[in-house]
Amino acid sequence: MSALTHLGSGLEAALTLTNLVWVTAGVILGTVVGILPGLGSPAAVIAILLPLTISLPPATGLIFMAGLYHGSKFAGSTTAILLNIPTETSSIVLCLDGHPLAKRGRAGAAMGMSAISGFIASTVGVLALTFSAPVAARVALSFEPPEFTALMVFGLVLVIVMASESALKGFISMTIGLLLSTVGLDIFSNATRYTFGNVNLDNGIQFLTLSVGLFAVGEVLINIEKRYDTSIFKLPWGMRKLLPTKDDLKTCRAAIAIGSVVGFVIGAIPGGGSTIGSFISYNLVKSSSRNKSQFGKGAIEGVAGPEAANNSEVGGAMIPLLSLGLPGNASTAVMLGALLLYGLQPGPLLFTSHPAIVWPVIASLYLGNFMLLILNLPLIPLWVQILRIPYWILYSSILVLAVVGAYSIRDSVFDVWMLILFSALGYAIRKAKIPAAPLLMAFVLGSSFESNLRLSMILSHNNPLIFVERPISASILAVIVILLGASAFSRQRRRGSAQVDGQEAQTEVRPQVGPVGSAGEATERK
Amino acid sequence: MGDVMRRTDAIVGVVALVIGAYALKGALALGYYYNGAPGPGFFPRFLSLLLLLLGGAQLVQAVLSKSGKASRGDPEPDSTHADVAMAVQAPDGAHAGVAAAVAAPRKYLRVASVMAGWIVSVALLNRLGFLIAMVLLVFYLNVVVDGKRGWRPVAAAILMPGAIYYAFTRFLQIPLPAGLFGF
Repeated sequence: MSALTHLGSGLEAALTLTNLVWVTAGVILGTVVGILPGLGSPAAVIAILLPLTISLPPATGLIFMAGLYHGSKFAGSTTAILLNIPTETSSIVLCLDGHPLAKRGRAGAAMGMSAISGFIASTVGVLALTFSAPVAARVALSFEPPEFTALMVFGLVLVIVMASESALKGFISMTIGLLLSTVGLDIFSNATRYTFGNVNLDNGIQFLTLSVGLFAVGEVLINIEKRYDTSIFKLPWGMRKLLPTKDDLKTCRAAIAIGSVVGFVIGAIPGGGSTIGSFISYNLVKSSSRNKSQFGKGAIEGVAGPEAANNSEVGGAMIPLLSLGLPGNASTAVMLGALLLYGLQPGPLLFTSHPAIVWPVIASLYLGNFMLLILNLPLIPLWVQILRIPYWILYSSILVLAVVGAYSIRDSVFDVWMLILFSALGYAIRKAKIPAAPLLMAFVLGSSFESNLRLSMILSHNNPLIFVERPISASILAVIVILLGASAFSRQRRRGSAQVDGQEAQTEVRPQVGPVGSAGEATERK
Repeated sequence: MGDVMRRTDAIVGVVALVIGAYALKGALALGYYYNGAPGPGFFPRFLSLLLLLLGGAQLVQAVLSKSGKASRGDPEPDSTHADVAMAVQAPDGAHAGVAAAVAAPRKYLRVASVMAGWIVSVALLNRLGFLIAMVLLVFYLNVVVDGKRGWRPVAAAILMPGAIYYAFTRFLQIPLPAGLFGF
């Protein structure tokens, strides 16, 4: 119970009027700055506003950072849902159902669900951390390169299984994503790979140019094949219709629970990160849902699950941070910054030797999430008004913002050219019905996958059996095999039932309308 | 129209084969081992071989599939999910903003026009600066590509890039390309 007492006193220390004012300012500034292209990731927002943060006293600076973190994270979800722009890796999965929901007039519901599920999951994450930190730390520490490699393979397989109508095209997309991740300097040997002698490619391809090109501009190019005089999004009038309904919350209960648990567990693994957690959660939610067919077309559970994972991961990620001093992602980097502001170096003894500092840090992050919910939920109807903008203005704005985003990564026009290249790629793969998500996900996981694979081979003196000899990696690989088998079986069954349906439809239609070809026309005319 | 999808699938296979072959050529030039451990060519070599295998499988599948069967369950290749979304948005057919159905060559021409304008504006970024290049881009898109008339397209072309320029360079102190005129 002492951990709970520490959490309570941490909350008490964080809850002062000054802190509340600063956390409010942080949430608002984080949302406003985070919605700008190129600045959508929490790390970028915090970096930009660092001069302001370090001018504050440590405790206030810390809580201000927590506000910035949550505000910018919400802004990232906003751009993913409204404009199909994933500004950070963990919001890629949000595009899959969040943007289709926006197209169906449910952008507000998606954004509201993102905030609500995030808050619930954050609560679960903090409580789980409070009670399970010592046990979780032991499990997390048993992860080494072979286990990470297996985990990466698991994430990649999930993406293919989940995102693709055609497994073959999903595999092709994933392989191209992995190849793109190898571009640049090889950190082991310092050799350059696939750079065409261009020094701009030495640091590899920038995530933002690829994600904005593939997702946002690729989508714009598809939409502008037609000419629009008004908005292409249908948006209901009235505050109530712009927020999630009770039914939505009921539908998403299981998704939030799954996301919260998965996010915490994956977050607790050093380097696990929220990206892979959100993908695993999406897939588990999809496979356990009654509306499987709606996923990818605008299922509200497809927003709730990954967003829950994204937020409970913060609690899990505290474990490697506080026990090993390893900041695995933006959220823990914020925490590390906060601890350094106090003049403390995270390490195995921090939890026990400095509880009076560790717990207010955790409480601040939680408080930031609470303020986000209070402040941004009423503002959602305002944000979604973006979708009322006539499409001829909206798409030209997206193109200009995309240029700004790509340029501002490192003040280079070269990145803008890369953006154009990836936009053309995004358009082409949409036309060819190749899913974009496996490519982007593989790109994100690629370098970590390769490093862990090579480290595993070094550990085992080039013996690939290391992956099946170690219990955790062998278990993960076994799950992958089962998953692939189940996926192949369900595909086969779907195909079989589609054939039966097709035959039944033909026998029904033929006597009435004559040639099969005219059945579709009859439906269209209706 | 299943033939169109079959042809598209075959093209996907060929493109994957070409990329795989090129990647393999690059991977073979890199060392498979480095100091007795997997080298820089280790991972790319596996990936390029995998891509060659997948490209070949895709091509064979497209060639062997019967006409009309290749895209079972998929919408037509030209009716993208954007079109599907349109149908969902306006079940009553009241989508006043949509112009009449656009013929296939014309829609590719629209995409090509937008891309061409975008490419030219980016080529001018360092000469004219962000502000002028983007004002010209938005004006071109609004007036030439979309055929808008009146004050609204002109206002959008000036105000939108102007607001972005101001927010980044003045408020956030993030530099954007300055051309010969210094902004």
